[in-house]
Amino acid sequence: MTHDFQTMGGIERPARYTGGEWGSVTKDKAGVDVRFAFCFPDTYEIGMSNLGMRILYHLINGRGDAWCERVFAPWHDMEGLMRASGTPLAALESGDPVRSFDLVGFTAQYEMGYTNMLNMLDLAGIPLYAKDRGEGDPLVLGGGPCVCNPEPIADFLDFILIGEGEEAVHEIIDLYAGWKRSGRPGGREGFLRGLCGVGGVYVPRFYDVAYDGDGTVAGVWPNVPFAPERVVKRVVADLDAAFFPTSQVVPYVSAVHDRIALELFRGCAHGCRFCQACFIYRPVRERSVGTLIGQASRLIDQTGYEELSLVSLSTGDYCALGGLVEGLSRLASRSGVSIAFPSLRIDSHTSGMMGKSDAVRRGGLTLAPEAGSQRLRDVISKGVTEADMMKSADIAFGSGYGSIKLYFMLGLPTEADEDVEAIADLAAKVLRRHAEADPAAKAKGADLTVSTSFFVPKPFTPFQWVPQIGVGEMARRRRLLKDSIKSRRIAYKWHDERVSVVEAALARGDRRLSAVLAKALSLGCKFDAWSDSFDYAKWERAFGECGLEMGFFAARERGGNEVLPWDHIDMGVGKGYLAGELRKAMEGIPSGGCMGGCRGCGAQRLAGCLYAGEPSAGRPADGPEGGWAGA
Amino acid sequence: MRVRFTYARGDAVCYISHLDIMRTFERAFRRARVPVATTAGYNPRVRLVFALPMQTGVVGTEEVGEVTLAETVGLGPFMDSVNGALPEGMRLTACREADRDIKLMSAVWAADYAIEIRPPGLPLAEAVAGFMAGEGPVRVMKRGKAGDAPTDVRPFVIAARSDPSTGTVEARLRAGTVNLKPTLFVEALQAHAGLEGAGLSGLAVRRVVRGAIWGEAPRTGSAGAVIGDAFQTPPLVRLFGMD
Repeated sequence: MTHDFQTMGGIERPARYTGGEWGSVTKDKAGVDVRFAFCFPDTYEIGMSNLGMRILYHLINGRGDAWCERVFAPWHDMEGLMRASGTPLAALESGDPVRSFDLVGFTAQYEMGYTNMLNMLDLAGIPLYAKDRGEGDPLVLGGGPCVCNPEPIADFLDFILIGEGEEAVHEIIDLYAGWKRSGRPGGREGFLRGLCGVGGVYVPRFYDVAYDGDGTVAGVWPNVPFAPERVVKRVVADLDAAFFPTSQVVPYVSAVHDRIALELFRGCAHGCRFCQACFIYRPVRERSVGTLIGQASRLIDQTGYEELSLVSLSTGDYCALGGLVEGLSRLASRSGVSIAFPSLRIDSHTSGMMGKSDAVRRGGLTLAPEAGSQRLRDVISKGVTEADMMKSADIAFGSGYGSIKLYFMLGLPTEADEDVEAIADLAAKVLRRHAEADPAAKAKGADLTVSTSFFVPKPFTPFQWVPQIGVGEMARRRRLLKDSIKSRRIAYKWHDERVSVVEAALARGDRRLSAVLAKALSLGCKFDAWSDSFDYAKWERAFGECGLEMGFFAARERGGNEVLPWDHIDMGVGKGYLAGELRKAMEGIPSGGCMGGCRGCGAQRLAGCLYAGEPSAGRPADGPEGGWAGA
Repeated sequence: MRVRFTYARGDAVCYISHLDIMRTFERAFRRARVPVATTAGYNPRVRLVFALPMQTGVVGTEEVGEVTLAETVGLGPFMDSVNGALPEGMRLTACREADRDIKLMSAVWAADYAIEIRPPGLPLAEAVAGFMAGEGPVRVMKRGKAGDAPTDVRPFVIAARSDPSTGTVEARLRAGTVNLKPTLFVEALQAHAGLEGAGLSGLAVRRVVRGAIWGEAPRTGSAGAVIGDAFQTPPLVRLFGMD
C-alpha cells in the first residue's frame, strides 16, 4: 500500500505507521543473518511506552548478525485499509512484510491483548496455529509477564520464553543463527528441539495436556524425552551488570509514557496478595546508583527528552533512594530535565526528598489503598493504614499537589458491603484533609477522584485459587459504592466489570482457551482492552461455541489439590508459600513483606534476592511443590 | 538572539502533525545543545514559532520558523549541530539572524503548492486554465469563524497552472490568517469543472508539496496608505528574507 495523501488523510494519527523516528535502527538486510520482528499487540502509543520492548529492541540491534524491527497493531481504520488493499502487516523500519522475517516475537503484557496478537498474525498472513506453519513460515515466539500462564495462547506459539530476556534472547538468536547457517538441520522441529536446552524456553508442542472428567487439568507432561518436566523462569542474576540501552527511540506521535525510563529494580518486597507483578518479577534485584546515573546521563544526551521517570513496582523501596534522587536532581538541573516518581509510597521519608528536589513536578497524586477497610487491607496484605494515608495526603497537599486520585479494587476476597462503603468513607476523610490544608480548594469543585477496577485473580499469586465474584454482583457493588459517595466534590470512575470477567477467564485458563481465542477473533474481537472495541456478547458466544463456560475459569474456586494449568511453569515463588499466604489472608493476617526478614517465598532459588537470608521464625523456606490444603 | 530558518520535511516525515513537529524541533535543539530561550512559568516551553502550520501529509521544501536563543551563536555551527540532531527526513536548509520584531505568523500572505493528482490523463490543464479564466464565484464548503459555509474560493487563488505531463497543478494560494488549503483548491477545480462540464470526477490527490512561503513586502509609501481589498495581491517577498 502506498502512503499517499488521500488514503492516509482518512487515517487517525498516520505518523504511527511511518517510522523513521530518532533512535530507530535501520540496517542493511543483506548484512544480517537473523531478522526479528518484535510485535506489540496494541497501538503504537501503548507499545512505545513498554520498557521490555525498548530493552530488547536495542539489545538485539546491538548484534551485528541481527536486525530487530518493531510492529504494532494497526488501529481499526488502518486495518480496514490494509485488508481492502490486500496489504500484509509490515515492520516499521523496513516496511517488509512480517511473514518474511525469521523470528516473530510477541510480548504479552495483558490478557486482553491476546486477540490482537492473533489478528496481527492473520494480517501478516502467518497461519494462526503453530501446527499449521510450514518450513517457509517464521517461527513465532511469545514472552512478557502474561506468558507465566502460557496455556491459553500455547497453540499459537512455536515457543515461549518464560521470564527475562536479556540473556535468553541472545542464546535464542545464537541458536537460530547457527541452525540457519548449518542448513536448518531437522527443520523447524530440529530448531525447537535445540531450544529445549535454553533455560526458560517452553515449547508447547512438546507437552500434552490431560483433563479430568470434571474439566480440570489432570496434568501437563512432556511428550518427548528432551523437554524439561518443569520450565524454570529465566532471571538475570546481576541486574546491575545486565544490558540496558543507552539510547531510546523518540517517537513523533506522543506515546503514553513519552519520557526517559530508568529501571531501578525488579520484583517487589511487599507481597500484596492480589499483585501478580510482585511475585513473578521476584527475586528482588536492584541497579546501583552509579549505574543508574550513568544511564540517565547518556539517555538525556541521546534523546533530548524533557522528562525522566523512575520505573519499578514501588519506587520508595529503592535502597539508596536519597542518593539516587540527589544525583538525578543534579543531572536534572544541569540539563533542564524534570523527574517523575511513579509508584511512590508517600511517607515522611520520601516527602523530605520530594521537597528537596525542585525538579520534581507536582501535578496530581495517585494513592492506591486498594481496599477501603483496614480488615480488607489486611486480607490482601496491603501494608498501609488509614493513618499512613492521611499522613500521605497531608504531606502531598502541604507540598503543593493540587488533586488526588484514590485507586481501589472491588470484589476482593471476603469483601462485604461494609468494605465497599468504607471506600466512600475513606475518600470523604481525605477530602476533608484537603479542605483543611487548602481552604480555597472547596470553591474549585471536584478534586478527588475515586477509581475502581474489579479484582481479577491471577496465577502465581496467593489468590490464584479464589473465585471471582459474578458479573451481576460486581455491578451491585459498583452501584453501592456510587450511592455511598455523597460529596459532589468526589468523582467516581470505574472500569467495565465485564472486561474483568473475560480477563479472569483468560488469566487462569488452560490450553482449551486457544480455541476460544481463535473463535473470538473470528467473531471480530480485537482491541479488547479498549472499551469502545470490547464486546462481551461475542466473548460469551466464543466460549459457548467451544463448549466451555467463562464461569468455570473466572468464578470457580480451585481445590487445594487441583492441578493448575500453569503448574509446569516454575516462576520461583513456590505454590506452598502462596497457599500459606492464602490461609493467612482468610484469617485476616497480613504477611508483613520481606523487609522484616525473608519469608522464604522460593524466588531466592533462582538468583540472589536483595532480601534473602535466614527465613524469619516459623516460616520455613518453601519449594515449588505443595498445594493449598485449606480448600 | 533570534534565528530564522527554513527547513525541509520530506515524504518520510510528512504525516507528522504540526504539534509533533514542534516537539521534534524542541528535542532536536536539546540534543544539539542549542541554548534555546524558554518561556517563563510552570511549564517552560522553547521560544519557537513556525510561520505557517502544516496540514498533515504535506511535504515542505522551505518551511519557515524562528527560534529565540539565550546566547549568541554562530549560524554555521547552529545549522550543523541542529541538522546532526534532526531525524532523517527533516533538515534545516538556511538560517539567518532575525533582528526585527516581525510577527512571523501574521506576516504570511501566500504559499506555493505543487499538487500531484491521480489518475493521470484527466483534462487538468483545461480545468485549471478554465478556472483561472473564469470570473464567477466558485463555492466550496470552507471552515470559517462561524463554522463550515459555502465560500467563494476564487479570491484565495493568486495563480495556478498545470503541467499535463506530470499531472501536477502548481498554485499560489492565500496563506496565513486568510488561508486556503490546497485540497480545497482541488475541490474548487472539481466544482468549476462540473459547472463547465469538463468531467474531473474520480480525481484524487496523491501528494502535496509546499514550496515558498511569501510575505507582503514592506510598503515604502506613507504609513497611512490605504490597504484596500484584502485580496488584492501586494508585492510579495520570500518570508525568510523579509526584514
